[in-house]
Amino acid sequence: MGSDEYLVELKDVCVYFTERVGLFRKRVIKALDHVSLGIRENDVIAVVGESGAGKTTMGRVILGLQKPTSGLALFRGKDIYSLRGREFEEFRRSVQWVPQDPYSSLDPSLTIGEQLMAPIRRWNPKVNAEARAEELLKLVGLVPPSFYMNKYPHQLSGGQRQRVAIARSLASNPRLIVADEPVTMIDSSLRIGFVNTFIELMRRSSLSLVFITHDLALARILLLKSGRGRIVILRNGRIVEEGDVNEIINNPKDEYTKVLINAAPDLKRWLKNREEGV
Amino acid sequence: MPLLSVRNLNVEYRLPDLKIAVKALKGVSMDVNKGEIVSIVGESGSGKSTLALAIMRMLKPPAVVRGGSIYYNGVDILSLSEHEFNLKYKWVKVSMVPQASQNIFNPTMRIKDHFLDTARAHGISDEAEVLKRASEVLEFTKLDPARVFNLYPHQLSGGMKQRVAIALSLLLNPELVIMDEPTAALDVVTQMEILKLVKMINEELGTTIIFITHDISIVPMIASRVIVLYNGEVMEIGPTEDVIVDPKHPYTKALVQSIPSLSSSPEEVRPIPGEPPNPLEDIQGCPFWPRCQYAMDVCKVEKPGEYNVNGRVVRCHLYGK
Ligand SMILES: Nc1ncnc2c1ncn2[C@@H]1O[C@H](COP(=O)(O)OP(=O)(O)OP(=O)(O)O)[C@@H](O)[C@H]1O
Ligand SMILES: Nc1ncnc2c1ncn2[C@@H]1O[C@H](COP(=O)(O)OP(=O)(O)O)[C@@H](O)[C@H]1O
Ligand code: SF4
Ligand SMILES: [Mg+2]
Ligand SMILES: [Mg+2]
Repeated sequence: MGSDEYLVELKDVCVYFTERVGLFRKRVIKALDHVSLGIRENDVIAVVGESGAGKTTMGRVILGLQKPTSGLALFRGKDIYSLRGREFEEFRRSVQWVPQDPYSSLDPSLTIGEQLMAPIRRWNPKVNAEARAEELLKLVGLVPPSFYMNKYPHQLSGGQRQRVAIARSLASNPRLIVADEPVTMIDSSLRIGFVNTFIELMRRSSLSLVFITHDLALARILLLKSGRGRIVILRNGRIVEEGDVNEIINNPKDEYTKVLINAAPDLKRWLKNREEGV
Repeated sequence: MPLLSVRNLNVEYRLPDLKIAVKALKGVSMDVNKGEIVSIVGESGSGKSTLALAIMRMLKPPAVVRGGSIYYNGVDILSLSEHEFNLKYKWVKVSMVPQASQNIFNPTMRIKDHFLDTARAHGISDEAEVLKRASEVLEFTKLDPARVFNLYPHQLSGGMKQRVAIALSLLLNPELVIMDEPTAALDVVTQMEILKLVKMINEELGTTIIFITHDISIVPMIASRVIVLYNGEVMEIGPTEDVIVDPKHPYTKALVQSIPSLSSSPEEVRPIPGEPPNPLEDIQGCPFWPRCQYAMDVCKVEKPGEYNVNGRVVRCHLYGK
């Protein structure tokens, strides 16, 4: 099948949904339409696109949660949707996700400590789950960890919950994290601290990141700080542009990329236009 | 005289089980001038929604107003009876687009009924007249009333829901609309369209607008003046251009530096040091001192006064005497 040059590879993936329109008509929604993407070890990919572009669907395909209508999704060269037994477990351990909404993804009846210790016990029965949970909290900047272990999700702010969701995604020592709009629910002034958390995580261990966002400027800083990776612009289920982030922002080829760039709030551009009297 | 004038407003949320009160607004004073778009910017928990709800007199227990006044055209609306306020002010003169208005709709009600309900709540029951007016405001927000009236909320995209919420706020032709984070849940392209709509409402209908956001980088796209809140207190007030080009308050400076632009170098974008304030903790002195790189001894014990710096309000000891 595919090469194992990639940790995860999408080959010509389509995901189509049919939606009923009225009584007899049906409409096909092309959530992903012939998408190919290779994710290496230690890779960083920022996926940018407007609402409904197919970003979450792409994440779900990578995570083994959405079987493509056609095309292949491979983990180390093998079809994710045919993996069984130990190979499937290995895939599940290696590819984790930080979901879009930290409000619904954490269990309201469990303390933060319990939310973290359950997956740690599942994936690493031998380690001291409590000590490891505290370590994960420290990694994502929730210090002192003892303050958070006995709290319930509703006692934390949106940004803190989002950090817990990241800590939980790390419980299995994954090789790839798919973070679906992890910063949408948190203040713009806190987002950069968040990106720094990911950078720090990738500096400490071999970890790839698929970072889904519509904050283009933040995606750019993530890529520049990590010193690797690329940006993928998604529209109507298709990759319209892909490559080096500065190259694409300074010299967009696709009309839609230009629309995204122009719509991005940008204080420096505003200052410059103002000086030039535009 | 300003259209709206908030003076020394204090609001608390009482937490009975904790025998403690969260002081959500601490001595907030600010003005809104007729015809302007003014932005209130601040991070989560800074008190933006509390301020909006206080102006609308929509605060619910455990919230209590602990002092201060809100003048609308010179009338202290906090001293009016609820009946009089609802009859003469609420939605008639001042209306709002609530935060997360994507979720305010009743999922079992068609859009049409949301308009009828809102009108009925303010004593207007002539359906034909309400629907005529509703059509006008929906058209103004670039929606097709014939189509949208019969849809259920889940059949609308996020951007369409936001347009409907804005149309609802305009139903009784108010002078002032408070919009609480109207673009926070939208992607940048849809956000841009909503910002254009808000500007158009201001320019063509003459509506005064308070635009609440946590993102200071969209403020210059929309507002001529900006009010910066932090931990329930005003930090800085001034013309948008001045505040962003040359922020005077250390918090405003840090805020501007924390937001990346498309051409920022990674080094120039810096998180605001330290942690956001804990709402249960009552910080003595200036609320920003634990995170402020300019903090002096006086900052930890004494609340800074309101200083006038080149026509701007700045509450920071650096500008005292
Ligand atoms: N289970 C499903 N059934 C029908 N349509 C679906 C389903 N899942 C996704 N879609 C459709 O596929 C398209 C892509 O959806 P997706 O959730 O991937 O977008 P997104 O980029 O994540 O958007 P958002 O930012 O709003 O979350 C949309 O048109 C969506 O309505
Ligand atoms: N129902 C409530 N009960 C207790 N505290 C509350 C409640 N609503 C808001 N608060 C507190 O009041 C402060 C200001 O909240 P809010 O006005 O909602 O902020 P913003 O809209 O800027 O995010 C915060 O510290 C928040 O935790
Ligand atoms: S008053 Fe002091 S601590 Fe507060 S912002 Fe000014 S210098 Fe910083
Ligand atoms: Mg999504
Ligand atoms: Mg709010």
